[in-house]
Amino acid sequence: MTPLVRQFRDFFVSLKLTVWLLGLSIILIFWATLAQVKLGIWGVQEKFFHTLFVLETIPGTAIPVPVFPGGYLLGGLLLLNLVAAHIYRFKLEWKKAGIQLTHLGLILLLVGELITSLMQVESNMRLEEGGTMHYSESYRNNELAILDTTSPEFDEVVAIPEAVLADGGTIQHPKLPFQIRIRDYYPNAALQMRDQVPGAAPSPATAGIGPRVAVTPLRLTYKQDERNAPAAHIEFVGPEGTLGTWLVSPLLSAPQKFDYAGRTWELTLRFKRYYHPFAITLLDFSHDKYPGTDIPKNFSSRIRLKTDDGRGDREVLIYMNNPLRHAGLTFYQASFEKGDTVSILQVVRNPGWVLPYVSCVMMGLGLLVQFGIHLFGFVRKRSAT
Amino acid sequence: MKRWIPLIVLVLAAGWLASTLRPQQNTGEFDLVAFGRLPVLVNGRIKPLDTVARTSLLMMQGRQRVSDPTVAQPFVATPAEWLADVLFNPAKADDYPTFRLSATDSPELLTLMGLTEKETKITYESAVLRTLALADFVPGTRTRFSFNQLAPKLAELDRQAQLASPVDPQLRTPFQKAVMQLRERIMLYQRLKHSVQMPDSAGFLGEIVQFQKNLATGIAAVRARQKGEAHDEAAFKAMLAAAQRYDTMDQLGYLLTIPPAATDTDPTHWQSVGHTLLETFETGDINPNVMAYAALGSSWRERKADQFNEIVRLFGAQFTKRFAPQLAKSDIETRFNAAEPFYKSMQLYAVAFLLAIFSWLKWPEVLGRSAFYLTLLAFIATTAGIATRMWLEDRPPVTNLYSSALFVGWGSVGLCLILEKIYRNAIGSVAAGIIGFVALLIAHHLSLSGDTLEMMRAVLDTNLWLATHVVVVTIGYAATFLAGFLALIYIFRGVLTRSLDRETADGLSRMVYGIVCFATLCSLTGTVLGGIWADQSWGRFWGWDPKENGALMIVLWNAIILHARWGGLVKQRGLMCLAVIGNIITSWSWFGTNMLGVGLHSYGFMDAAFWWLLFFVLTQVAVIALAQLPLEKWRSFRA
Amino acid sequence: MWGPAMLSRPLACAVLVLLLTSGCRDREITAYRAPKDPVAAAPGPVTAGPLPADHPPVGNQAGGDATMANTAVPTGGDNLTWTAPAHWTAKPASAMRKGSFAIKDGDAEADLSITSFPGDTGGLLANLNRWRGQISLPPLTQDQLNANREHVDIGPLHVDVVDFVGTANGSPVRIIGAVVPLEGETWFFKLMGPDALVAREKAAFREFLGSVRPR
Repeated sequence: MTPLVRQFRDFFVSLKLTVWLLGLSIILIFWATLAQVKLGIWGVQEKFFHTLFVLETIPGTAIPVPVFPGGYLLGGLLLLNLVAAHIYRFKLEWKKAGIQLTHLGLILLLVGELITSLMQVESNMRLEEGGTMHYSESYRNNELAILDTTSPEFDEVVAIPEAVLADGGTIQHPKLPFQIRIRDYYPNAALQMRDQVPGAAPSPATAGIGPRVAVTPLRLTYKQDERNAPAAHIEFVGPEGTLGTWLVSPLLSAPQKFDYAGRTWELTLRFKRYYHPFAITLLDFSHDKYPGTDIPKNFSSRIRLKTDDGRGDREVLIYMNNPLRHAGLTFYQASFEKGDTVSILQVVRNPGWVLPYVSCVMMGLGLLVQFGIHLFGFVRKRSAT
Repeated sequence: MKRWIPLIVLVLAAGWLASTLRPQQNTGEFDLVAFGRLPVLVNGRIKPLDTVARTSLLMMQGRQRVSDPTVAQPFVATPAEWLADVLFNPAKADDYPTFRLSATDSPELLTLMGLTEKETKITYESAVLRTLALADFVPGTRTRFSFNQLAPKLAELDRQAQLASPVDPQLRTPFQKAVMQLRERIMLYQRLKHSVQMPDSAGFLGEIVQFQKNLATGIAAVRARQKGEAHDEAAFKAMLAAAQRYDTMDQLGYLLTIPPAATDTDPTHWQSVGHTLLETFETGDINPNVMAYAALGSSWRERKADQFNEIVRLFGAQFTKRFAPQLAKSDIETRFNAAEPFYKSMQLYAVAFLLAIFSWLKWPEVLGRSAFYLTLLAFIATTAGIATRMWLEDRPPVTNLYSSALFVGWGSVGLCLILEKIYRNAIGSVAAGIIGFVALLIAHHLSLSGDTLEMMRAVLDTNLWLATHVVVVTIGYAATFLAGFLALIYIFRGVLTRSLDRETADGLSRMVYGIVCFATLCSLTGTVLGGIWADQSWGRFWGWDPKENGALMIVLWNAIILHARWGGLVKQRGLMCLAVIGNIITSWSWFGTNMLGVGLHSYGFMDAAFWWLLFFVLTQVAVIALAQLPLEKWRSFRA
Repeated sequence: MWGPAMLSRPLACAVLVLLLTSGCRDREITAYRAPKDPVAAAPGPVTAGPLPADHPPVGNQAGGDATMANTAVPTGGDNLTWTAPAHWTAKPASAMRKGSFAIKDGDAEADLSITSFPGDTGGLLANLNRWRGQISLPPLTQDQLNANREHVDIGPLHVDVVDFVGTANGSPVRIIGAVVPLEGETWFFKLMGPDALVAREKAAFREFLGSVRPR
């Protein structure tokens, strides 16, 4: 073994590295906790944890500079450190079984968290009593949906994520007979009727409700209970020239319609939708309070789950701490609205959800064995003296 | 002789504790004890009026006594007597100084409420007291004021509160916070006053008797008017006025005092007096319970003790049959309030701490053993207190920040008792005394925000997770704190005294290591269990919520201590310093995360507590700095 | 020891690849066939109804309609006066409404309701978002609200005026509303009807608001 390789090995299997990584992790977590007041829980996850480095821009410029190792880097190195140390020092010994089990559980936990952070998709399903939904909606991401509603049975949808809108430019798509030109885009904006704002700049919009509405850009909000409402002016251009410029924003209620190329089109900027191969109907939502107070005691939704292939049709009761798991998705009772007639379910797809459970059992057992051995030894030693 | 001293201490202290369990005695001719046991439904649970009185006083003025520094005697003997005045004789209660307003909290609020030095400054008659006031031994300024003193400026307060209320609670200035707080306190007081009668009524009993008499003609008049027929205008107006008054009572009344009708099987269907009176329009008869409270009021105002006691007795008797299980709880709760097990334990911990400290200087056997007994007694008393709370709530021990403080103290002391039993060197007793005392002190301050037996919000309403995740994590806190405090003892004894010999030092080191192992086990298991709970109820195992982060930081820190020791990176002193840092991290994740005001877990926002937290952290840093003295400068290790 | 060995290449690469693939997912334009949305539940006829569907909760009032006290006795004082334009038709006030007007133009009809409730009824934001919900508009955040409301002082009164256009039953509907806190109560003036008609009546509504005075 060359000295360099040995140096490498010694570095990666050292306990010193473990201690340093754990220490840096604590600082990272503490920093991120403080930053949450300003950035909100989502912003913090992106900036501190789901990244290799924490980036800060140099004041006065937009140049990002790495200032601290991020969650992926620390987690990854810890994982490496753990695995390397175990391979290097591994001995099948009864005395070490506990600690090895614990660390194996820890490895599983780290891997599980990596999988979760990369693969987890969260969305909401907002159900009115008696209403049926085929899709759930993201609560942070928007999409520009262009629908061909000509067919009476179904809609042909082209969904453009907000991130693409933010880039601006022109989009051409095989399903659309026109180009989409993004005239301007605001990540968060308020809309007002134009006659309420006398001095507003002229609107670029020429069609739909846009010409009557004034758009005021707002700062992005990071609060957990608030959503940003983006706005954009979208121009459609056919081979023969412009079709008009529309204003889109989730703050507008109904989709705007137009006819082109012998088909009926609708456009709307809405929360990103995830369609599912099954439908959920809210049969009943109930909300109990403690007597004489507004403190919620329990929420529950009685729903009917009907799959499109006609094989499944059943009633399910979803309530706090008792979600429904179906087709790789989990439905949680998240919230309610409108005098208890609207139930909001959180819909989560997380392929790695079972890993923490396994690792929890492994770590718990491992620690119990390890400290059990310690305690046993200690007691025996004491009673001997 | 010396052999007997610890036993004598034990017996005396046990007797003192037992004496708190005897039934409460009335100080005057009114049976206020029985009055305090009357059940009402408020904030979602049936509780005795005694609890209502105590928690209301704590919320309004931070203490249960109603007194003024310049008046020798308290205005009322018990919280229940104060409540009787508020409910039945508000004109008198309006003069009691029960609203806390202090220049240290917000001087602007004093100005807003028109309180000048004339009201706040205390001038004592006696020269002795005046001197003491200068030295701050007795209060030099008044911090509690009566409703009448505040009344002229209530409109101003309302206006300021309206301006402050749209502001995010975390972003409010100290003045805005103080305004909102005072307004809440006054609202609570006003709502109490409207609970069983209209406070402006000259005689409420007379008023409702008159109302009952006029009811038939009144209803006829209203019906006629609705049909557009000729009607008795005066009778109509009287009905209208009465209905408006009772509606106000219903809107404002704080207590649901009227039990459900005998035919109603749901024991939670209690009603306010106002609502019950409005129902009179339908039934035509005033509910006898409303009458009972009104009669209670008139006998209280007219100082007819016999009549008062008789009504309380009869009124209470009707509950014993219908609400036996609820009443059993409410009776125990009254006794529990009066026994004050946590306050008594606090005193015992303080004494035990002092005895144990002195045992290192003199009579180690006698004092050490006495301290151990006292700690044990205090531990038993806290255990009993926590068990009572669990029984009252039907819940695992930790349900809110207050009970977490109780439980952290309990857990640490329990571990200390084990250590003391093994090592018998008074270290366990010293640590138990200080942690027990401080934890209960913190709990006392947390109790000022209201009833500590609150209802659990839906998401927390699961005894399974409360009993596993919350309990295990809290024990993890307790163990991490204990390791830190043991390290403090090591450093203080080592640097400042000659008493840290090699054997003691090694013993302490083993204790800290063992406790850190235990803390790692608990905090890791607890945190992962919390993740599973989160996965069950919110759909994500880990959300980087501040409270979760805090728990994770404790796990990581304990892991660092263990790995640093296994890797030989730290020796004895380093281990102690790391354990002290554990104190900082635990206090942060216990309280600091609640001060951020974000996240799902924040169950309490406390402002003043922030400075205490900072103070605590600074002291810990100072101790670590102290430990950095070269070992040969440590008094114990000097050659 | 802390030198170049800090970064393990393969690991970093693996993580980078994962990151990039996951990043792409958020930027992908998708095309699919979807079932049609069900027609939104109708938020009630715009013109009719003695009770606005959105009236804020008022103590026991909601549940206890049967008791005589509640039918005969208005809660809170009648302490505002106003003068309506001549072409508005006054409708009889009800238990909930302090004042009520119909504005007609052919078949189209807009409705002006004046209600008052004790307290701040959950705050301005909650109340305005309830109005928005009636015309299928998503709720606003506090910042968005601040940009959307207009504050006017009418005599001693502090009034917040808002103007929303949304849809109900598929046709454009507009709400112009004013919220007036007064002596511990909150007054709501809500003009709701077909977009075109309400837009035309906006000036009249503002003039009407100007006539509101405490009694």
